[in-house]
Amino acid sequence: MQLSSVSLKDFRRRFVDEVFRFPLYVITNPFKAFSDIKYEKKGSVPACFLFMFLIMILNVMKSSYTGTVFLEKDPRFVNIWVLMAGALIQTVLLVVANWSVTVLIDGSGSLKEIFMVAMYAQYPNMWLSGLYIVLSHVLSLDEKALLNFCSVFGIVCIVFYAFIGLVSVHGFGFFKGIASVLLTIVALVIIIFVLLMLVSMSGELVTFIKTIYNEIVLHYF
Amino acid sequence: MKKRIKNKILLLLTGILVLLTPMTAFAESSSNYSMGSGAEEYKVAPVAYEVDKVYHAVDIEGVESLDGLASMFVKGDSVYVATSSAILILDLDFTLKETLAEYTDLDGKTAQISGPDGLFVTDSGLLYVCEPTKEHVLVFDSSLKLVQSFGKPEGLDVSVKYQPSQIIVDSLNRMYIIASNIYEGILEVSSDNKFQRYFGTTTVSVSPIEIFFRAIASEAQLSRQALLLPTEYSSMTVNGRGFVYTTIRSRDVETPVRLLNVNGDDIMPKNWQDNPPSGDENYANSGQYGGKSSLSYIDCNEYGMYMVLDTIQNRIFTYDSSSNVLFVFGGRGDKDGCFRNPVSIRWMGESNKVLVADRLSQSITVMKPTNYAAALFEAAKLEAEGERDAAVAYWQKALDMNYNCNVAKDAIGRVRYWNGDYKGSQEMLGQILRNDYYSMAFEKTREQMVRTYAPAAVVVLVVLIVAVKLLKRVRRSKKGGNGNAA
Repeated sequence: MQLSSVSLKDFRRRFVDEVFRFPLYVITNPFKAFSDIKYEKKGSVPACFLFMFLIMILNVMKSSYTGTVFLEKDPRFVNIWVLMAGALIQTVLLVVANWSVTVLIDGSGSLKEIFMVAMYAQYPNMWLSGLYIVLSHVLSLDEKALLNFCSVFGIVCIVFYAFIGLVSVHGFGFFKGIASVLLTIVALVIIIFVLLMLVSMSGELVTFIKTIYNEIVLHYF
Repeated sequence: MKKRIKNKILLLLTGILVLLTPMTAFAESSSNYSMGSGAEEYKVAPVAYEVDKVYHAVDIEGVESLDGLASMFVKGDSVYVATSSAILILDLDFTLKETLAEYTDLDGKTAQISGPDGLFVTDSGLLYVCEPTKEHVLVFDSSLKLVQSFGKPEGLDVSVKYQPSQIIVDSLNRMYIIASNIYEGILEVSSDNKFQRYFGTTTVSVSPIEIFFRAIASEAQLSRQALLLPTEYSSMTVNGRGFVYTTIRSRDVETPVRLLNVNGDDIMPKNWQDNPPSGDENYANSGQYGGKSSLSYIDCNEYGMYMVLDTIQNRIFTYDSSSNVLFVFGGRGDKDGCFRNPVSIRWMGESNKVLVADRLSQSITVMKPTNYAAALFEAAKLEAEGERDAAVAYWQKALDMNYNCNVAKDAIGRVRYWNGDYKGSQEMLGQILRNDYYSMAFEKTREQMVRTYAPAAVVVLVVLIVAVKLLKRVRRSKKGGNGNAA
C-alpha cells in the first residue's frame, strides 16, 4: 500500500517533469536544452512518443472538434485513420530524411536525438492547436485573424525550434544547418519518389503474377 | 403429424427466403442527386423529372421522320423543331401546325431546307434558321415566306468556312451567331448583316512553363502539339432582359457556363461554396464516361434558372439564379427518360415541362416535373422575385421530401437569420457548413449569451476571489494560532 502510493507519487512527479517542466525548459532555453538532450541525456523518449500520439490525436480533433464557424469539411466524412497516419508519416519521413542526410555530412546526432528534437519542436504547436480548437468555438468569422495567428505562430515555432535543435544536436554552424535542412528536403523528395515507385511497381508485379496464374489456370485446368 | 411439421418448416423457410431477397422492383430509379457540402459527397435525391411522353415520327401526324434532329425553339404556344430536311412547327400538344421544307428564295427559285441547326423566333414572329452547310442564315416571316437570306457577314475576315450553328436575335434585330471553327467569340452582326465585333471573347491562358517549352520546341515538335485555341461556345440562349447564357463544350475551362452582359463580360455568380456552375465536377474517376461534364446546350427561364445539357452522362442540370444545383435528371441509356444522343433541350413555358431532342433515337421526349421539382421551382421563383418568406413554405416542402436538399436548408437558414431566429438559423446552416451566414447568426447568439450570463459570471468571480482571500486569511490565522500555542 505504502509502496504503491510512493510509486504513484513518483510517477506523477516524473510525468509533470517530463511532459511539462522539461518542454517548458526547452521553450525558454532552446540552445541549452537541446545540448542537454545530447550531452546530459536529458529529455525522455516515452514522453516523446506520448507527444507523437497527442499530435496525431490533435490532428484528428482539429478536423472534427473545430467550431462549426471554422469547419471546412463535414466532420462526418473525415477519415481519422488517414489523418493520424498523415501526422505520423510526416514526422517519420522528416526524421529519417534528416538522419540519412546528416549521417553523410558528419552530423553527430543519432536517430533518437533527431526524433526527440522533432517532438520537442512541435510541443508549442500542440498547445496552440488546443487553443485553436477552443477559440474556434467562441470566435466568429470576423475574428478569424486570431485563429490564423495560432496556426501560423505554431508553424513558426516548429521551424524555429527544429532548426535550433538540429543545429545543436548535430553540432552544426548556422550555414551548415541551413544546408542540411535544404538537403533534408531533397532527401524527402527522393524517399517519397522511391516509395511511390515501389508501390506502383509492386502493383504491377501483382498484376503480372495474377495474369500468369490466370493463364495457367485457364489453359490447363 | 410429421408431414405437417415438415410443411410448416418448409413454409417458414420460404418466408425467410422471400424476406431475404432484395426488393428490386423500383418503379423508376432516380438519376437525381445532390452534391453535398464536400465535392465528393453525392447523395441520392428524389426523382425530379419524369417522362410525360416520348414522341417518335409515328406519334406526330403528318411527320415522316425525325431524322437529323438539331435545335428546337419554343415561342408562345409553338414548338419549332429542326430536322434534317424540314422545320416542324408544332403546338404544345405536339400536333403539327406547319412544315417548312421548301421555300422560294430571293431569286424566285424553289429551295430546300437542308441540315438546319439553330433556330430563333423574335417577338414579332420572324423565324431565323441557321443552315451551316449552306453557309447562311434564313429569315422567314410568320407566314413562312423568306424575307432575307444572310450569307457571310460583311467585314468578317476569317479564312475558314462560315458555318453558323446557333443564333439569337436581340430587340434591335442584331444577330448573335455562333459559327463553328470561329474561336474568337460569338459574332455580333447588325440587322443588315454587317459584322460588328466578337462578343464574349475568351482569352487563352498560357502558363509560363508552356511558354518556355514552346520557345525551345522545334518546328516539327510544334506542329505535333495541340493548338492553343480559345474556347468555342456550344450554345446560347437569351433571357427577357437581354442577358445571354452560353455554354462551352470544352472540359478544360473553369467556367463552362457563362452569363454575358451587353459588354460580353461573364457575370455568372459563383455559389456560396465558391463553385461556378459546371455540371459534374468529377462524377467518376476513370472510364469513358468519367471526369468533368461537357456541356452542349442551355436554356433559361424568366426567373434566372437555367438548364444545361451534359453530353458525357447525358444528364440535365438545373441551376437557380445563385448557381446552386436544384436537381439533375436524364441519363445515358435506352429507356424512356434516358437519352442516347441528346442535342437540344427547351423549357416549355410556365408548365416547366422540358423537351429533349435525341438525334440518335430520333425522338423528342417531353419531361414533366414531379412534386419535388415543382416545389423547388416555386421556391426558386419566389426567391428570385424577392418573396423570401413566401418561398420558405416551398423550400420546407422540398426539404420534407429530401432531407439532403442543401439548397433548401441554405434558403431556410438565411430567412431564419433575417427573421431573427438565430438558433434555428444556426441549426440549418450548421448542417451544410454555410460559414458566412452561420457566423453572423453565431455572433448574435453569442451576444445574447454574454448578455444573460455576464452579470452572474462577474458576481460569481467576485465572490470566489473574496472567498479565496478570506480562506487564506483564516488559514494563516489558524496556523499562526498553532504556532503560538507550540
